[in-house]
Amino acid sequence: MKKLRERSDLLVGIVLMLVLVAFSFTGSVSFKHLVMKIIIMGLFALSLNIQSGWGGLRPLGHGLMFGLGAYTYAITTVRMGMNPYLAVLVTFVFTTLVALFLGYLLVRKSDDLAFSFLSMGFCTLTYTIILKTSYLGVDAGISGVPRLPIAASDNAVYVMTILVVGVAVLLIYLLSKSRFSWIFRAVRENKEKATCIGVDIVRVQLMGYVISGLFACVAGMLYTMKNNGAYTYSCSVQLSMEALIMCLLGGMNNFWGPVLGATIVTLFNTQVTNSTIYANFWLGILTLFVVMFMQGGILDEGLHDQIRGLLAKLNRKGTEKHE
Amino acid sequence: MKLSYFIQVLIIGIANGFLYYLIACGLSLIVSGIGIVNVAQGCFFILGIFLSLSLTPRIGLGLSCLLVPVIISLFAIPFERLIRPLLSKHVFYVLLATYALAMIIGDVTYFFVGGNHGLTAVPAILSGKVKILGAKVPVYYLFICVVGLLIYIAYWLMMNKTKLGKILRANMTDRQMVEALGYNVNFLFVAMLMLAFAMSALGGVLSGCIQSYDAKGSVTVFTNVMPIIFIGGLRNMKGTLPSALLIGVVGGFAAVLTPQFYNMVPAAMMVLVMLFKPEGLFTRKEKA
Repeated sequence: MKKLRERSDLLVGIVLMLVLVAFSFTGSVSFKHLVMKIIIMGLFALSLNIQSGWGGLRPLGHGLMFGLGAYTYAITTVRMGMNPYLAVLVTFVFTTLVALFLGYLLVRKSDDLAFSFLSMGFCTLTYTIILKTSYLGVDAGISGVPRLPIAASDNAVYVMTILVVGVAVLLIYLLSKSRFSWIFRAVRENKEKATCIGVDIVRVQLMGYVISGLFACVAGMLYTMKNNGAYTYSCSVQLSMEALIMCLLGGMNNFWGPVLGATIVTLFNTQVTNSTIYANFWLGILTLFVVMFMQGGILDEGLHDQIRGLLAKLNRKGTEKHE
Repeated sequence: MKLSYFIQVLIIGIANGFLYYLIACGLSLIVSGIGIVNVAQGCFFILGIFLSLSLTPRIGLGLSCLLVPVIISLFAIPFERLIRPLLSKHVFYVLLATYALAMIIGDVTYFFVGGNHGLTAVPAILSGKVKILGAKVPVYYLFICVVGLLIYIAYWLMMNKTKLGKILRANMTDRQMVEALGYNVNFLFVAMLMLAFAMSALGGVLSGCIQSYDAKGSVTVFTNVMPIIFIGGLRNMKGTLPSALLIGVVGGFAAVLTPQFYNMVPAAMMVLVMLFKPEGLFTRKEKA
């Protein structure tokens, strides 16, 4: 039984894969699109959790990596007419180089506040460049992006998405059990102690940043393939903030926490944008709720603690009454 | 470029710099004093614009410059109450909370104001142009420069010569000592927030005559002002004015030289400065 609990993350993953494969037999295309969006956002949130849950770095501009993946794939296939397979490779290489460069600039000072806002600055910079350059699509985005030839139809792209996301999540899981993740966590906890035992902080944080950027880039490419187009939302600060809320809501210290957060936030988002134009208002309320009342995240026992505290307060039979 | 054109662009850039300074000064005060970054600062700038849009036609620009900041600074009291439980946690939570507040206030403003907004009318004594060294400069921009300079001097005087300023500066260096001496730190936070919001709102009132803003544009305003804090040095309050003027002037010249990319000037400058001098352009390096 104990071995089962230790392997609980893997079990949850297997069950989720089975559920997703079962969904592929339903007919409704819009439902498949919704599920694809949820799992892509889940991958994005997991990639952010590599940096913020394990590493303690809190980038406010992680959407940049997502947008890089989305837009590079779109530009190389539409504007440069490359073969889609080659375009995927080029996107990987380009995003790794950019992540290395930007990551080095961001982590070399080891100042957390500066890290967060600089990454927001980079994200805004790229967003404004994309918004104003017609080659990059202005505010209408680049549409007509082809999918991979083996996965062109809606059903096929659904199966490809769940396969790719499944492999990526498995890779992240293996990474979370590796020595690297423990060193990364050690750097988060106590930088001086980590330096004393011989860890090179800048190198470890940079590696974490680049790995996290790579997974976000994969998510971005999948998103472009799903939508047949890259739009400015992919590179916005709003997306980055939503990813942070997903991680916070689901629990940063748990493996599946960000995915749960992604599911809730994406469903909430889709529902709210379909019903009212004041979408930002409701998103703001959700964020405030998450930040003020649920600082542990659902899977981090945040909700558990809150409910337990509430029940304790209700059942209190003490003599003091706080009016 | 002709000298007159150069001077025109320069003065408009300086005026924009002063408007940025009004918002950035509040942000810098909050970063140094409370230790958090307030993403919602842009909201109060925009609230100032819309409030002055309704008030100025009735009571004139001068009174509105005095009244609007006072009204908007009252928002600081519920704001501080909302973020107080988060202040003891990591700064990241306050950041998300202020971002959420920015979105909420933005949408509430949109609900009340809707999509239509115009510019307030410039009062008669301030309209018209003045010739400086052969360049025709609108008087209103000079007015903004003068007001900005006055606010800077008033702020400096308050910080350095009054008792309140002394307590606020002490709060920045050693908050626990100030608390131990018996001052209610929460009131001090409210005071800092009120100052910051009032300055933002004043910036809004002044800028309402020259540029119209979207009700939902508060995060954009914040992302334009945030680089000023970084270029001036993150916890360095003396660097705010020079870096605000720098961004204003560079932005002004960029607007005429490369009109396509002028609104990425603040972010681009921040990236450049971070590359070469990460502790800020106007911070003196601490002697080792």
